[in-house]
Amino acid sequence: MLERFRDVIIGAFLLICSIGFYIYSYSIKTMAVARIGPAFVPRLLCIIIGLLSIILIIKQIMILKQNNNTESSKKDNNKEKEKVFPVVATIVLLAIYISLLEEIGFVIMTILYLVLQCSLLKTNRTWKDVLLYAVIGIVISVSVYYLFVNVFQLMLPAGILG
Amino acid sequence: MFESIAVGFAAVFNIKIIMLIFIGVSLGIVFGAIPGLTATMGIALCLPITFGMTPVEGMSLLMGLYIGGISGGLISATLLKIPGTPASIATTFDSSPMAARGEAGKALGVGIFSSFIGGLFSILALMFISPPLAKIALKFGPYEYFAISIFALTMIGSLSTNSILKGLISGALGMFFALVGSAPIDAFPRFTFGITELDAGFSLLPVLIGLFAIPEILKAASAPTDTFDEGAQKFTMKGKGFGFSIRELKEQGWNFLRSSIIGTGIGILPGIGGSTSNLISYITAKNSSKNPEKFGTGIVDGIVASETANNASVGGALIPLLTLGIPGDTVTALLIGGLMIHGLMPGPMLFKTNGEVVYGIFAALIIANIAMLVIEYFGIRVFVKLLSIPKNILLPVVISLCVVGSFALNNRVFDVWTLLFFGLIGYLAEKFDFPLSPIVLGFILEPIMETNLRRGLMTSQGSFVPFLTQPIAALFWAITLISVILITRKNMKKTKTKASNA
Repeated sequence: MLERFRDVIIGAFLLICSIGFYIYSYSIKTMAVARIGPAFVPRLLCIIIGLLSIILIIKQIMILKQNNNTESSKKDNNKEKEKVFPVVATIVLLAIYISLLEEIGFVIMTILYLVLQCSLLKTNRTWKDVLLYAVIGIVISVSVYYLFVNVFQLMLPAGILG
Repeated sequence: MFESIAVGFAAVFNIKIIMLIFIGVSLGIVFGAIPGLTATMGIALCLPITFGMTPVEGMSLLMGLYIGGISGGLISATLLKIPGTPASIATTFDSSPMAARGEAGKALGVGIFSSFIGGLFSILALMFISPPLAKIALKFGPYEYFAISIFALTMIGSLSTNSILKGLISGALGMFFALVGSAPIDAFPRFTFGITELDAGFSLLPVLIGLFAIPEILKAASAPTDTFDEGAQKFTMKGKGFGFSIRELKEQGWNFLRSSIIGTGIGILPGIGGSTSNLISYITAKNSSKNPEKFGTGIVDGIVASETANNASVGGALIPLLTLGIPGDTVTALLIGGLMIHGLMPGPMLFKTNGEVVYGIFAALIIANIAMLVIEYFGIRVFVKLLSIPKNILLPVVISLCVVGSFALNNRVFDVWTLLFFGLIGYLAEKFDFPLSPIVLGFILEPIMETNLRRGLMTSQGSFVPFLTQPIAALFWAITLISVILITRKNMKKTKTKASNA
């Protein structure tokens, strides 16, 4: 059911954001003289996005009114359920990876990340799989670190190993 | 002039330099192919290495890196649907569906050959007609740049396959994200919310990689069944060679020419390069084609348009660099440093004082172009084998490389957070059926548009008249108007036939 209101929801969200940012743009410091100053393009874009999202909402409502007569519920049964947990878990995993990157260091965090992420993406994992991922993780982590820090002279967080 | 070319080739034709070129091209391809690393980064890393070499040797290595780097993006664009560099965004539109059909070899072959043609065209333009071209480029001031950026922005409407409305919203959103940071000209902070890292705004690389790469792994995570356990996608390398026939080649003749011209032209303009030219060329090809609806489903035209243009921008960007000392894009800006390390001042005098180096550069470019063709051709089979790595291993590794690339850019974790932030935005955009590429195009073009708007207004004392009346600017406004009218007419015809068929 939510599917049909998809465009309306995002249109409303964008509309609220554009109004909000338009108001926020008044806090941008401008030189008193300039007519077209740093706030010009932001306000212009807010107006454009606001108008476009209103059109989007109206368009979707018109389509919905037309389709109210014809039933379109057949589609939902065939689509397999998309998994939600792995998506959320991936995002959380990435957030943890990034936040601990500097503290614990690139090598260790990347190994952890690779092992966990590869395992997350596979539904029927076995202990052999996890072992494989650990090996891949160690090889990739260490070789990338060595390559970037020693050969290219770039810096990667050393963390607790450095 | 032809003796100078011969001298240039003679300077370059020794084992050491040829090897340097091949190494440069290979390294460049690796940098271009890995999302998170770019050609710019590759050149920045290898600049110090050239210090100990002679000028011709050093420049040959850098030319190899440049050509390989811009070209390498097509590999990940085809195999992973993630552009390796911003110059290969439009390549993903058609080479990825082609690869999904099992024709990855063909997609790669078309891309490689197109890169070669585009590069060759622009190198020849560089060699033979750079001075007059550079003089024309000098005439471009803020009014002209503003007109060009508006022209490019209007093409956003043609980028979206389903809803132009959503495409416009995406473009506007992209432009909005570019606002974050310091305003152009007066540098007042905008939308930074007190976060000091945002004072310079978002960096293009994490934005690009975040928008394209992170949604891929989130999509794989949400897939109902393990669609990637089989890993090995059946691919057929039809025929020998590049995987496409001579007939298809001939059909693309106009496409090659037009895309090369677009790529070279945009490359010549300082500040705009391969990242913009591939999209503009793709849109132009789509609008001039008899079957625009096929674009995005995996046709040769799309790949040709994008890859020809982005490699043509290489030679194009070198034109203002070598003739005027003005860099045509980020890579050429670094090359100024490369030249200066060897005591060469890029500019009009370079031809007179160090002519043999300049012609050596030309020769190195041609050899690098050929080297790219050869290396990538033999690499096609290797690259396609990469596709058989199970996605659940391949994608996390790619993501970790993206993390490396984002971090290495400015040595701060904030850029990696940018990666994640835009990854979520990209995922939401796909969930709500908004196209991604207008976001990137808007993000790239907004600074150009706004800076030149403000600059132009300062020069004209607040008057809008010069924006419209300057000859070159007026030309671009006319082109913009004509293309908008043509596109709207085409769309109205399309909806009319749809309504009459329903």
